[in-house]
Amino acid sequence: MLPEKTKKWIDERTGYKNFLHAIFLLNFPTKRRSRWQFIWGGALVLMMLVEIVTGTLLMTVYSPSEAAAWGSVHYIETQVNLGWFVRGLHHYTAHMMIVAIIVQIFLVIVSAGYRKPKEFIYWTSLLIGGVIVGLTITGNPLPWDQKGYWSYQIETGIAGTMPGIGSTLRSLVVGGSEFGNLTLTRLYTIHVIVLPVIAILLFTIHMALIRRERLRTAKIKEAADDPDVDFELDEDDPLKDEITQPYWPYQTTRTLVLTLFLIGIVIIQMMTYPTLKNQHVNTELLEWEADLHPSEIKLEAPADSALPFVARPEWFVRFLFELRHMVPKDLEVLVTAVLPGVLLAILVLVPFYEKVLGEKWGQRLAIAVYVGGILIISGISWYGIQTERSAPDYALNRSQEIAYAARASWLASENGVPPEGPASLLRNDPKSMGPLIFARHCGICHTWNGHDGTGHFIMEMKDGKKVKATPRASDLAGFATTKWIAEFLTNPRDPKFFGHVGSLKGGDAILNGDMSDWADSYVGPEGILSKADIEAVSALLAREANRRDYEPVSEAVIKRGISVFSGQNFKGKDGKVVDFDGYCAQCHAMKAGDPDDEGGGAAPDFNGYGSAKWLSEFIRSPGAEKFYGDKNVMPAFEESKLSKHDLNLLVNWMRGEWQRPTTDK
Amino acid sequence: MRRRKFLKYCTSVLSSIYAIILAVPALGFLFSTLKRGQQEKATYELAKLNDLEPGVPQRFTIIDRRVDAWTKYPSGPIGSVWISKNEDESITAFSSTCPHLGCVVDYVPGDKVFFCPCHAATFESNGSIVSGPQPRGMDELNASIKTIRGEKWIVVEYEKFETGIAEKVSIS
Ligand code: FES
Repeated sequence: MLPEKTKKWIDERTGYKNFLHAIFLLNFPTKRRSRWQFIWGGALVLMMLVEIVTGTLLMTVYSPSEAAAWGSVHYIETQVNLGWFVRGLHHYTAHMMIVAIIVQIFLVIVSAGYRKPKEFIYWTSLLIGGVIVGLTITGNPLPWDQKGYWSYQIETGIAGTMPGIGSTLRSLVVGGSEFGNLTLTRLYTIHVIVLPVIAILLFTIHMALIRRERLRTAKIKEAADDPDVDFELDEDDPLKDEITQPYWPYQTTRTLVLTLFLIGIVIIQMMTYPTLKNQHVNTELLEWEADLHPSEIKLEAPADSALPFVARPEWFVRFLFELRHMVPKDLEVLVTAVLPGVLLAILVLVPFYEKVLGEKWGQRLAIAVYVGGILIISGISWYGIQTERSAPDYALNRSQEIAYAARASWLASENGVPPEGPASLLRNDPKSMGPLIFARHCGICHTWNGHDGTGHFIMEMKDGKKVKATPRASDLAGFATTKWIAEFLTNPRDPKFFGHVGSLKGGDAILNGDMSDWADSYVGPEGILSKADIEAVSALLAREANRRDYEPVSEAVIKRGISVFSGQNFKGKDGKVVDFDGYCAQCHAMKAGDPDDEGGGAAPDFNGYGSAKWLSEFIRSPGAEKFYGDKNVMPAFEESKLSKHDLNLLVNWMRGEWQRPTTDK
Repeated sequence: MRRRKFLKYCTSVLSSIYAIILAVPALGFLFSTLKRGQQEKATYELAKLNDLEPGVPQRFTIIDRRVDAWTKYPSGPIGSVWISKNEDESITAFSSTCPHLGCVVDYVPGDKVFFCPCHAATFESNGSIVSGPQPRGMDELNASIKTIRGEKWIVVEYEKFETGIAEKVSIS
């Protein structure tokens, strides 16, 4: 690039050529047989460089605080050009590095790279590996999404069980006893400064040691090859194998081939990631339809300890997590603190195996222990993942998590993240919170399409067995729609409606009360009311609720509904006006259906029936005069039981009112 | 030695690929975050025409929602304008941001001049320079009169301009 003269001018003043030689180990000997083995270290360095570059880029946008972290990562993924690529590269290359370390240590053991005088080279490489694992563990929670948050909970939880120093260590990395802003700033500091600096220091020492060792070998070779020097290598000396060959370009080419191959895998993985990751889950399960296609979901939902999430640790510490659940409680310390220590000792002590067992058997033992250990650890992790996936509710829970992730991403793109933080995106969203509130407060008696709103079934113990509980009150999915009301009027005693109310104290008055009598006398083949009459009066009632899925009906249908409701002008099945004494207004009040405004009073007031206001009032005091009065069996949900905020979310969710893409309006 | 040459060649090709994988996303990433001034031009109905006294500029605050990268703030002040009604009922609106370095410009009723307290930039009430370090006169904004429910309202199109240069360059 530069003209020879300029190069010379600079070199005379800086000695950079020597420096480059030193860095690229020019003319250092390499093992003839293992030229492809010694490139993993170089590939690791190049991948570390990728991490440094992409990490620095991410730092220009990322903001480490509870209120901003998730939003800034979402911004990187969706707004910044190629942000998804940079973040994906950073994330997956880190995992690839851990794979590379596992391979590298294996190759070192196979080629006896720990043998005298290379013990310290081996130990520093172990330390660097440890730092890289640390970088991955501290990097993953940084987006402060559910996945990172919960896996860090588990990892710090494991650290906290260490005897003696455990709790101090935990509060040191967590920044107190609770997760919060300090957790993120600490994580961030450790991730971007502390660990990288340690890694670079270790790497420098490591390279210096390697240089020293290579130089020594080169000198011995030189002497052996020099006919003037009276020095011969033994026939079986490993140095016989070495050839003198510059690192550049012979090893650099190989290193680059491997690096690009590994990064290629990373890029492929990154492009197929979301779909690949959740391939085994049906994302449209039950109520949990996701707002975005899985391939568009880049982040789990914002961290929120109030939202359900099945915590899983990173894959490389998974085995500790699984083992912890396999052993009895008081042996936990063995797994979480002693075991990692033992594993570490096994690795660190490898150079000494040969002292005891001799070179051949020492190395064999080292290989056996390493490969065996990895097989056992992968076995445990694989078993853990399989058990988790085959758990009865796994698909349901996971599709809920995916739906939350999709919902949060969609809301953030649509509305922006509010200043108080991303968690409020879901906390103020009826679609996300409704099912949870329903399950907590209503799901004990009511059902929603048969389940508790979230897709789970309420269980109860019967004869020592867990069985699906019988609901005690009506199923509220589709409440106040024409269809729901028509079904109810046709058969109020149906298990879906009043069927099980009788099992409640005082519920008999409702089950066998006026409404059931009414249906017995007027509905059905013998009854005076036709199917069309039922439908008309249902539509009239549903009009009061005015849900978003209400389809307006013709004036004639409404008129017919009014005639059923008020009993005036009622036409029988033959089309003639007849007397009808089963009209609704006898008991129910509703201005829209009753021109005379008789007022009802004996049964729930239907003015605004099913509307947000009506529902809220009803839930607050179902026993009020205008609702069930003294027949009421439903508990009242006052402010102390159900906050105004939650009530609004619940009511809006029941009515299907939440922010949706404008296209399906 | 042929082999060595070939390998050298390979090294440079491969390392270029490596560099491209890093450099392309890096440039895309950096340049998209360097973009600024995402706020769009918007119009605001600020005051009723009749409420203004001819010849006396009044300051009005612009209230709007502000988006800062990923955060969306609820409504709050994002800037202010000086509006004056001339004798012939026409309207002049100036951004209150000083074209020197961006302080907020005041009006001195006695001297009938705009005055910036930061470095003493002084402007005529028609916005032209009297004295001071400012490179241009006050930034005039598009203002018009709109009849809403029978009343005349002053509508101003608010935007921000680069400071410190002689040309008036919008940063929307
Ligand atoms: S900013 Fe107004 S005079 Fe300098």
